[in-house]
Amino acid sequence: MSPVVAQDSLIEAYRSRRAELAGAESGWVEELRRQAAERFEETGLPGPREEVWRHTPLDPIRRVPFRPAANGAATLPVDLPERVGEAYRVAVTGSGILLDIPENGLPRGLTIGSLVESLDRVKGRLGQLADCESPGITAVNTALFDRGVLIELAPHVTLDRPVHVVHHVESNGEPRAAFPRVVIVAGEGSQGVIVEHYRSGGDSPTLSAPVTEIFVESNARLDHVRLQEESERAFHVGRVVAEQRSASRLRSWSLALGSSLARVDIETRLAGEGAECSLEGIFAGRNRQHLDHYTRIDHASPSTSSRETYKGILDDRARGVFLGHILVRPGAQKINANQTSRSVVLSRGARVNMKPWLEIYADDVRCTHGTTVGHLDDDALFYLRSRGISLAEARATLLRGFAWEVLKELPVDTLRSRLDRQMLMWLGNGVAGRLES
Amino acid sequence: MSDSSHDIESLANREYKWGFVTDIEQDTIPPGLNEDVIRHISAKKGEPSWMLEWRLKAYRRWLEMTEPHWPHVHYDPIDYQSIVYYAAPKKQDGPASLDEVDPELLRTFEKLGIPLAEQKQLTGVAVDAVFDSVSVATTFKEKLGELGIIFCSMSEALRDHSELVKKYIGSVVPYSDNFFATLNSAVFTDGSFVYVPKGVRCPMELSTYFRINAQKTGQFERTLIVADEGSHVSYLEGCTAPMRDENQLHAAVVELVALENAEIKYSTVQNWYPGDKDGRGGIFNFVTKRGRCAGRRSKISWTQVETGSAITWKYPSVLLQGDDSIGEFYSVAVTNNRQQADTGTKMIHIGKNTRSTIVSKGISAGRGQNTYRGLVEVHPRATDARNYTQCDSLLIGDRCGAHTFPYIDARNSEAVVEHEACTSKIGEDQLFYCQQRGISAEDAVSMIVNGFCKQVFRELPMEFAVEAQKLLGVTLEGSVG
Repeated sequence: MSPVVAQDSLIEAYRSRRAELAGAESGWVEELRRQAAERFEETGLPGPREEVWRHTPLDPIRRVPFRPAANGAATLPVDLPERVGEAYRVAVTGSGILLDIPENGLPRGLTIGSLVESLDRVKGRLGQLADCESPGITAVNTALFDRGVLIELAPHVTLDRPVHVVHHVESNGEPRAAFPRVVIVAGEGSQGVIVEHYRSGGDSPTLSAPVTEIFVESNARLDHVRLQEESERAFHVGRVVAEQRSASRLRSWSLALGSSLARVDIETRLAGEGAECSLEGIFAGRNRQHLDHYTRIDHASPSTSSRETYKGILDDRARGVFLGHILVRPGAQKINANQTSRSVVLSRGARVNMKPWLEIYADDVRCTHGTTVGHLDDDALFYLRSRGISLAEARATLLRGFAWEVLKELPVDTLRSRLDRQMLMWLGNGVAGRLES
Repeated sequence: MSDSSHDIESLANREYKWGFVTDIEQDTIPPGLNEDVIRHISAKKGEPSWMLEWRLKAYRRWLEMTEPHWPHVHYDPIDYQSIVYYAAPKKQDGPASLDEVDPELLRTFEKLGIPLAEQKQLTGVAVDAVFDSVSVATTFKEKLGELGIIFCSMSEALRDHSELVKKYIGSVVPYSDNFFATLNSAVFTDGSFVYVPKGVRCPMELSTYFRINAQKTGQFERTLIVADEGSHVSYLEGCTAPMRDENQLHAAVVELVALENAEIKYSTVQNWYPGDKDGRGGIFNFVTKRGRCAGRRSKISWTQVETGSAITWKYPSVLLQGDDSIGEFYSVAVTNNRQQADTGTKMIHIGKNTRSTIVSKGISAGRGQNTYRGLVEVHPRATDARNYTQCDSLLIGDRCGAHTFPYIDARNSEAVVEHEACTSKIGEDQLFYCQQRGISAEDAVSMIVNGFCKQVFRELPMEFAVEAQKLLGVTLEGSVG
């Protein structure tokens, strides 16, 4: 019997705090939370019997008596990362949001608000996409979310700079869990870039279990970047669910670099004709990190297309998991779906599980997927070394190129170059260490 | 488009061509399963006592197991107590030659297009024909005997080569392996046993024709092939079954063992009754097939053409234990009407420098659901392991489904695993091109489909390749897109 410490502790937290939780006074939120809590009590954290969770046991989380993070002061964490370029910066904290924006304020058509204070604005949206039925953390997040942000782009607005959302969870002395909730609405014909940035600190284990719901209306173009750089004491289990209307485009990047155990679900439903999406991601793990991605592209309408590229780099005793699910519903004809997933295993103890997963119920489709697991190309290494480049540098160069394929399209220049630098450092240190042995 | 889809439909509507029932007196026991039934089967076949113990162990284990439901197939619950677990044609002594075989039986085989009588002279194929549950004729036995090759039914093997069987049975698929394999271990009635001694290259293709005949009898074959050091054998398995209204369970187990430098090639053409076009009747083909490359530089190759059965659920696998061993899997699976197939392979890389190739072609037509499910696992010790997988699906008609669930589990930094897959339909431009050159839509589809499957067909022995192409044509008749 696996321990249920975390589950009991969180259910207890819900029971004792339900009256104080945001939205307790408005019936529909209370009802939503109540149903979610029931569901969570029934199912708990997902186990290895669930197909999409079989490679990622959550036992390390189950064993910890997590309690919801206390309401923190509404100050930006001191070491907040540099701005990603000129961005509208938002810090999500336990007691609300903190905006860091130019003096002349937000541009017309962009709304950024604390989610827990704008619940009336998200009625009919909150919980619409992220259902509590599928196994995962949606239920517990819905029951307990105490922080979050609502970002709205009015129709036909084009943002002049990205929105940079910083989620920071900190715990000292006892294990804390944060349940941020994000709702993004990209109105008809709008365009914008949103970066969600996850960080953690403190000397005790943290758990972040965020849920993001994204509504992409017709003809909107939204770029969503998810950067997870939590500490090695952190657990991270997150979910992003999007719904796309006709002729909309969603580009998503998920960059999983930190945390000891991280799982991210990225799901999008192409619900209108002509909608397209591209999902890209990198998971780079070392030591004993366990990084899992699950993606699901639901081609629910005809003439929709999707593109997907995920790359994994696993060193030491790290483990990487990628499950890419593509579903083509009956009647959804004229579908194009392309998926590529590639992993590089750098050391003997590392392990990778990949599962590209196509489920197709229509015939006029063109779906391809390719998966590779391998090591660095010996010929390429030899070539570089024959030109006087050290083995360590050669390896780092090759891996940088491997990651660049995903990074190169990142819509924020400063973020792109920072990550590129970071990858090189990450890889450089990794190989240099081994070169000596 | 409308023309061609009409053609596809007419193809899809074709009736099962091999549906006929042969009337032969059957020696059966009442339906149901308990320890007495197992004792009865074992006693009927005059088995050694260790075999009975093994069966009972499996049965007791089976009672504790639950039927798995993870595959991507749907069917009504199976009532295991309504199955007849033993049916043998009424004959006191086993026939020593073809002349002693019931002429009615021989006619059945003739209808199937494998005249046993002619086979000796014409094809050079030795056939161990399984009619329901008991082998009735084995040809070329003497010739094989000269080389020391043992090719006989499992019952005979248990009588005459008990030690060999005891050594290898359950060594690849243990009695506790999975629900259906465990059931098979408890109640298997017959099957084939092949042993090729050291250094011998089997001079002919060994072949068995299975055929389910008696109403409501599940068939539980158990096949065991052992290739000793440096030997080579190619084995063909093919089957067609007569029309039947009730679902029949077919839960066979096939075990292959290849020792050092040995090579086994196992080819299957499966054409069990698929049920009628509304999905009534048809065979449930739930088979466990697994090979073990036990020695260095050994090789096991599976080739399968799956056109029949209401539900096909099988994953011929290879355990690549020996260093430098090779595993191959070539498959064509066709589902039409309401057929469902969940098939693929497992390649488990354990030894160094092991390599595996997987080529899977799925064709879905009508309301057929075709799933490729595969696992490539590279163990930490399997340095320089190499896998290449290609799984393509062809869709004919807008109500069918094609799915792929490949699993890759790599635990070695020196391994290379590649997987490619592609799903599409027959291009209208391709069809148009053929048709404007005077090729009918149906022929064009057949041509395109055969081209699609060529990579697999060319792995089949020649006689089978011809049959497979014909079968594919028949299965897809009326479903041109």
